[in-house]
Amino acid sequence: MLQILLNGVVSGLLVALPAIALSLTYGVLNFPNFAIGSMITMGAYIALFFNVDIGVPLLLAAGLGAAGLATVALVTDRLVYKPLRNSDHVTLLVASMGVYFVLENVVRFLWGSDIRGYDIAVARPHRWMGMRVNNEQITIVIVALLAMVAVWFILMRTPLGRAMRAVSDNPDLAGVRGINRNYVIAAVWAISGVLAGFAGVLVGMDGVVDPLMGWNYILPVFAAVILGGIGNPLGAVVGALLIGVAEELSTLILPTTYRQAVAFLIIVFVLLLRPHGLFGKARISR
Amino acid sequence: MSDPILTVDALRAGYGSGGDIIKGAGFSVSEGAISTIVGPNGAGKSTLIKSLVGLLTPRSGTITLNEADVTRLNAPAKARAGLGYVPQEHNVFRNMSIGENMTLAYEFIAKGTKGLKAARERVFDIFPDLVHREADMAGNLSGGQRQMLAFGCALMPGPSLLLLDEPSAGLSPKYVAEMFQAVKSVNDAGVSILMIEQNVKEAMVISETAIVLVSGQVRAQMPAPEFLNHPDIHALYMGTADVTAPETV
Amino acid sequence: MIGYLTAILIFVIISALIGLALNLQWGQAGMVNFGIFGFFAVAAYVAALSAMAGVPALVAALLAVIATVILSALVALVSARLREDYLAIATLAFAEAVRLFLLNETWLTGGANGLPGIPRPLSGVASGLHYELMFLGISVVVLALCFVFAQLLTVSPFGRVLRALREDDLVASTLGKTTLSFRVRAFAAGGAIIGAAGSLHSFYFSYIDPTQFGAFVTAYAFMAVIAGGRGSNTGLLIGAVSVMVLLEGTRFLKDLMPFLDAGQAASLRLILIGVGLILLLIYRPQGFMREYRLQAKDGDVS
Repeated sequence: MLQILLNGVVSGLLVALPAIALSLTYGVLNFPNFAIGSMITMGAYIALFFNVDIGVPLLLAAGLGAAGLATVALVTDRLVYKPLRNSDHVTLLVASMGVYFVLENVVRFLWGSDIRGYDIAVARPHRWMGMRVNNEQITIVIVALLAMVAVWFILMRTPLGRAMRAVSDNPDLAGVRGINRNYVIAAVWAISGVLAGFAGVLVGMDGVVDPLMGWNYILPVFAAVILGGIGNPLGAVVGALLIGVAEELSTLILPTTYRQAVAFLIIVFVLLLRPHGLFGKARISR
Repeated sequence: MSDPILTVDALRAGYGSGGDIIKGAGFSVSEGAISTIVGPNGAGKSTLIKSLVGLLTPRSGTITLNEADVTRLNAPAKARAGLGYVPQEHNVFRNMSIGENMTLAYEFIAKGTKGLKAARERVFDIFPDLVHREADMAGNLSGGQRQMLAFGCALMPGPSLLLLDEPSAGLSPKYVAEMFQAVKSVNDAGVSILMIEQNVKEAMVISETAIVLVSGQVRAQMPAPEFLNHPDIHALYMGTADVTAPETV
Repeated sequence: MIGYLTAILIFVIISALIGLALNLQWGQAGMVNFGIFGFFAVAAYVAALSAMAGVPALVAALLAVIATVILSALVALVSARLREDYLAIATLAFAEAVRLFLLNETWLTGGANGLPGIPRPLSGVASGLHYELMFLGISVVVLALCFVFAQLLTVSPFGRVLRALREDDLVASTLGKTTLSFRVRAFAAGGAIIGAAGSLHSFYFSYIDPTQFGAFVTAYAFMAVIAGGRGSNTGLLIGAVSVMVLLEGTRFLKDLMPFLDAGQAASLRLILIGVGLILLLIYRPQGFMREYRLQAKDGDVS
């Protein structure tokens, strides 16, 4: 049982980073970024390129992957979302679908569709309180927690974080308070790129690196954000952990191949019964 | 009458592809005074104020603030040019504490936190209700308290002109009096004020100038007492009274 | 060459059908369906499995239509009140659940290996190119029927109410239950057309597997609707044809750039789909054709 809980927390933390990224852009730009899946994939591949093809240590490669993806996110904003800034949110979400296709297939174009993995030594799992814990899980927990603390610090303790929360809450009032929306948007894309980049590496360490790896995370990531309440990054973390644990628990009664269906069920359940998420207040019906 | 701090000339504004809602409005606000825009519903008061603060870019005309042309500046730039604004609703960040709201109102306009403490003290002097409540969430405040916080936030960076959009709307009578008292004391501290108000009688007591906006145009600008004693305010509103449109400077 | 053209035309017809469905659901009713590929897959599998069980093709297609209509109505019933972005997430989640089912219930769907040997209708009547041409004829008839169906809905009072509900959330929320019923019916009507598209797909290819029903189906459909002008059925036909011409044109990229391998050429095509979609949104969001409007203003609900 403890083992299931541990595995659940680890897979929840994997969902948490992209969920925070999605929640940040959702709040500030007011549309769901469907390209988040291919951002995870691309981050994993940029790091893979540095790690395997060039031979940089994985930690540094992950940093380069995150920085590279932040750049990709900023360029995407400049080329795609900026010209559409005043469009309705349906246009923006369809555009993000287009971005999804471009990014995922740029990955396929550059690196092919084969299944690959990082250059890491295989170590025997440790035993701790009767549970099996492997090195990858420890890395995932540490990196995810560090990233979450960093995001929390930026959001709650810095002027940039205040500006982000302000634009997310009320863009007009934020403008009147002297906050330049484009500056905040750029910061949010950069942070979201860094988070998705690290998430890509962690997901690739936990499993394999292939072009569909990010797409497979779309449902749990959206479920986490909806569960936590749109535009509430800290709620998204809680949502992600709940989903991770629920997915692990589901393997007790469902074939493991249906793990992802848990996210679908949670989405339906939340939208039907608790449409504001567990903590949110946003209006989602019309 | 002293020099104008704000001059609006032949201003036209509207939304999207729709027609003009502000149709060539012109008026001026004297430095150090309280001026009040009055007019019937649908006259375009909120559209006018939105284009003054930069949330809506005017289609033509000019807005001059402190002798600088600010017509086409966006909201953050206008705020830095010395224009403060208290919207009628949604005027505080509900998910932030009172303290955070006040800090936020200062740091991006003053470009830093130097002087933040002094600004806070100034605002606390005017709104003692806010003292010791910095940790409270703004979303939990009552209507009157929220209005006070919004007012205080707009004052934080020390604007030279403050725009108030119906400051007394939705307030209980106790708060209405308090609000107008606050407006007066802010003005006494040297801040020029332009407000939109439906509570015409009370507003005119503290105002120096009345500006009558009808159908997107300024029909009259006159001293407040003259407006209050005008034989036919109704006709003024309807635009049938024989008043020549004011010359803008 | 004629064989190639016939195949392309049948592709165009199938994607035009999906576009027509999206045009009803999103164009007219304002319901963003990101999960079209899920409904499309259900239709294809129902038609295929029925036909393989020995049911006559027409009945199999009818079963596919009934299945998608019921599923669409159910999904709409659950999600029709949601704001557009949530509706997009909910429908996408549904389609992913369908994909999981198709991949895992191997006993029924063949899993990743798919379903081979789907009997083609009227295969005794003609063969070779003649059969292809006959299939094209059938597809044209199906498209014509669906087009007339969609067009009748669009010009009817039903269509006008849908557009009014789409434009005005206030009206929509005051009408409450009526709004829900209109949206559910519009979504189900779109589902019927997807049912026809899925049946044609199964019968034409006689082999289906889950990879044929990916998110790119949704992207094609959105491109066709946006290119044609949201809400216009005639525009949609033009949009579907031009999108397909563009996509087929990209097949020749491989001839232009022989240094690309097959995988790279395929991903380059999908990149172009994405880029095309984005460029359309930025530069031609209003499409080629204007939405159908009666003399009366769009706002009046009769």
